[in-house]
Amino acid sequence: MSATGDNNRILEIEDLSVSFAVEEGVLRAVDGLSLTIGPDEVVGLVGESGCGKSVTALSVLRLLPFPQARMDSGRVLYRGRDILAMPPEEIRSVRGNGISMIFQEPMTALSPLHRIGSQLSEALRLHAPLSRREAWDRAVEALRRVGIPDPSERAHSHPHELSGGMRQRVMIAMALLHDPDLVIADEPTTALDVTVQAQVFDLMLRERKPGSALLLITHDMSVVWETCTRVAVMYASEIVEEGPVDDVFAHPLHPYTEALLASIPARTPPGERLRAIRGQVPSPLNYPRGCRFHDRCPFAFERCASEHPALGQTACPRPARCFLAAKRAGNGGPRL
Amino acid sequence: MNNGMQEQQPLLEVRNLRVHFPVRRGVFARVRGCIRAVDGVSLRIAAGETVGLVGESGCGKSTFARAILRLDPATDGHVLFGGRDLLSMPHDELRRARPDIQMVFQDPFSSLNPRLTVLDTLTEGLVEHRRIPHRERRDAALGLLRDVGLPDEALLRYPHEFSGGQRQRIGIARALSLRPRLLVCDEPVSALDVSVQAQILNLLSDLRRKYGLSYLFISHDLGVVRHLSQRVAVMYLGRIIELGPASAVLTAPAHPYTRALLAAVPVAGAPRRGRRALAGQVPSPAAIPEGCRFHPRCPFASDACRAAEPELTPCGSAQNHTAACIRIAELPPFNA
Repeated sequence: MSATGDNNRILEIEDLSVSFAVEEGVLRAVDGLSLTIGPDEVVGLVGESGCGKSVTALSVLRLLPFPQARMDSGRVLYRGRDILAMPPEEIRSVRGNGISMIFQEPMTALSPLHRIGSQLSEALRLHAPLSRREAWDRAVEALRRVGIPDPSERAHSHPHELSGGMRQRVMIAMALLHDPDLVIADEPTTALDVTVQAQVFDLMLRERKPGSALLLITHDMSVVWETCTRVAVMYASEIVEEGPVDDVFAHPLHPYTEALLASIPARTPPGERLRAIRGQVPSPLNYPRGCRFHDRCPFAFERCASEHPALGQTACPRPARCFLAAKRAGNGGPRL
Repeated sequence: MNNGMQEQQPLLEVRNLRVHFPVRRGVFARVRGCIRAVDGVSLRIAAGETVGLVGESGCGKSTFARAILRLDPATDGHVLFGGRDLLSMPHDELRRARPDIQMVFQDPFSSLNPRLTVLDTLTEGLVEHRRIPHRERRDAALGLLRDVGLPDEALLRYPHEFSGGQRQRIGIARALSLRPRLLVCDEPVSALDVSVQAQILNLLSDLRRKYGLSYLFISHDLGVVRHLSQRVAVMYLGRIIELGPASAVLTAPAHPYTRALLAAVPVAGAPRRGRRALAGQVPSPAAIPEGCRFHPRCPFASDACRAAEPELTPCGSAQNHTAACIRIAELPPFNA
């Protein structure tokens, strides 16, 4: 990484829009999304299923299935270079050395046919001139680093011989192999039990290179709270609110964020009614006019149904896609 | 917690239930071992009571539920429902008892027959068990739809036309169709987004009140369980290791495993504790450790813990709070 310098932005996503052509029409998966990630940051991209958070992650590494997926607009800059415009060999080097990804289901991300030691050493040899022996030793070392017991023995295992937690450790070992600047983790612990989940997060945060960043994609607000420094909340293909985790959780400006936090059972006294959000997430084939949350929002007024609010509101301290955000920030707006 | 609940005749009483599966290997499929999925579990549920059953994957909680309904064969033990043993019942008697206990499954996608309309799904049981005349089916189904908050138009639609939350409502309506007294809910909200999850949890509370239902509520999510349950049982490797009032078990846990479980769960907005991860992995239910089955992972294990399997004994200050640990008196207080 020679381009590091004093560039304090690792990743910049600018006005990204992605759609899919499906039988029923055009599905808008990501709509005008901008997000910047700097060194040492742990950013949470949080939202419910179908909100576009995973498509955002895949776009960054150019892993979208073409031609079904269409990039309608936007740039994705990695250390100032546009990933979307890179020739294939350059994007391959970014995927190996610059940005790596951890997927939710390690069983689908690892090859079922090869020993985990071989998979790791192959990844090493692709990006560095190593002999088989050297690569194998480094692979065993990588397994040791992520806390796999008896790594020289385990390197000979196939993925199916490992538990879910161990497989996810192998994924992490693979993602950290080249000390990337940015790790994108898409629901890395959703399939795991809570105690294993805690182990995996410890590992991801502890083992990354100093100065590197983590983009954590999740549906779980509590995980964001515990792990991230900054959070962007997505609803219906857009970011609706962004800011430091402490601010967003203490003082959510968008009613959706507030409602999401209010619906968490652990934050409601036992026996009390949960504050569910009424209705359902709109279909990405047919978003409502105006604010996409307006028909579920307890504070909606006429303007919300006709005009689409911008993420930056005048006199609002942080980005929030709501006409009431500035008022709510000043404590003058309505709250749940 | 109502103390009287324990005194009266319980609705369901499970005594020392065991579900062991043989492990077969080799060409002749000889029995080479035994998976002790449920290994001596006793539990009572009073009429109108909700008991939460928590534990990590593979702890046997789903097998326990399935064995109660005789969906998995029990190896040993008794399941008394209204005083009669479901496990030794002849088939025709079991058929008459079945409507009293119904189940709600985790996956609202695979647990509904895609070829049946909602009307058929909801009235299948009524036709089979109650032999209701054809013309009454529609009214019965409409009543059920209203109970679970779905519009009348849903009646002639097929499962694929509904979202996950709506499908789970259909699953609940189906379970209610025979007016059961006990509903066994196996991870009923785990597949749903938080905002929808809250709607379903509220619905389950409403139905409990309306019909005086009892629930056996199985979940890995402690927040969800705390919200709905009066009592909680914690399972580890096929046994209940702690049992008591939800408020006691989930705020002043006694057993080291329950403590570890609670310490691993992040709660949005609560002080960040830096999640303390539990070391190691859950052993295989085919090779359960001697003595206390938690001792290899327990930070407090002593020689005595390796010697004998502890029984549930009273602990803490709350009534009916029990834990299977011989060292409870010596443990430091739990600070959440």
